[in-house]
Amino acid sequence: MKAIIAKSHILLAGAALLISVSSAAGRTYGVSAQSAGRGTMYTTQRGGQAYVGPRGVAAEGANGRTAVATPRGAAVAGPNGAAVSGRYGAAAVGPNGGVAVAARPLPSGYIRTVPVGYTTVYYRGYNCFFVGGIYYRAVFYQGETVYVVVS
Amino acid sequence: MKYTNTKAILIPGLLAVTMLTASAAEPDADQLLKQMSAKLASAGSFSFTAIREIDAALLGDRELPEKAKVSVTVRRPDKIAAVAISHHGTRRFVFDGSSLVLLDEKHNHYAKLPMRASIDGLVDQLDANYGFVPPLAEFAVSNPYKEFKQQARTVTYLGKSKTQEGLFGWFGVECHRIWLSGKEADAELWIGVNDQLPHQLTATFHRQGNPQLRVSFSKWNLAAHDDAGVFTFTPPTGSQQIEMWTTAKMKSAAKN
Repeated sequence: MKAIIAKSHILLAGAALLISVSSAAGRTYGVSAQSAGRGTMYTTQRGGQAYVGPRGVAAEGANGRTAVATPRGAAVAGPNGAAVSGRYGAAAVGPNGGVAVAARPLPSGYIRTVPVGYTTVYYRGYNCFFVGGIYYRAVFYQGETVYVVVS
Repeated sequence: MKYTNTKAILIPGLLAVTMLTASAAEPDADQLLKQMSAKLASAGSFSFTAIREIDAALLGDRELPEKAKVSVTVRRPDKIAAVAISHHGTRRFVFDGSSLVLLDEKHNHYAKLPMRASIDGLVDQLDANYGFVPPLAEFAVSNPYKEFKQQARTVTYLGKSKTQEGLFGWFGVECHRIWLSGKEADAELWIGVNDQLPHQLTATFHRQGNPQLRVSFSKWNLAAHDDAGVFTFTPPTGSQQIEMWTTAKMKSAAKN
């Protein structure tokens, strides 16, 4: 069970990674032309709702079923359980509490916040945050502090 | 009857004269922008403070503060220091003509890059390679007019208004309001009638929801004494030096 939880942490950390990066393509009053805009919310006559944004879609039906899809993966939740699939693995939870997780290799890109429960360690020449079997280190990116995986 | 006819002629005539007079007296918006830019460009050393608010829709996946107090000190041609304080913490930006330092006080770490350039060169290099620019850099570059004209296709005069400063706006500054219409955003810039300095900037972006950037300037000091300490960086106790990644490096890392 511990192994499953640990793998879940890896998966969740991976899912949290923001891999899309923007290149500077001109500035307008100091605002990058690459900063993504927000999406649009739609509501159907039957009570369902959907959000369409620059990075994906999310929907909730009137019956409570939900689904989300982005370029990095997809997730669905219904009355009989939930499942998620991403670049770094997949996980499913059944109605009787059963859990299944399949992790893929370590994530790349960066995260804004280190997952909770980390310990600070010195690893491969860097002061790192170790959590879920992954070493993160801080770097400045686009003028802000982000965390990348030490591989 | 004669009286009525005379009135019918006089009133439109007076209106026409009033409108012509008003039109003739209306300041040239482009000239006002040039005057403001020339004043900033000719200031060898200056400082100002601003409250900068950015709507969330302009932040993308970044966590820039929604509202920050920004203090900027400039010494032309190659020194600029800025401090941005928000509920996310304090970040310092120090450029002395040969190196650039970025300090995140909350996490107590900093990055230092060798960069021999003018302020203009710094802004261009950061924008092109690192995906950000110093706060309110358009007011610190050597030719602010050129910077604004790159972002605005047309400049028109809107009128005069007073800023809301102090209790009940008693200490407000009378300003010319000019409209900068651009491809990415339209902006309203308030330029002081007496000091020819920027006092407010509101940029509305042509994106979904029309998100805005709002800046209120204060404490302009064009006679700022050279305080070399402002442009000198000493790492705080216990701070850690980290790398500053280019957008290309992050892109490459994300592919692996």
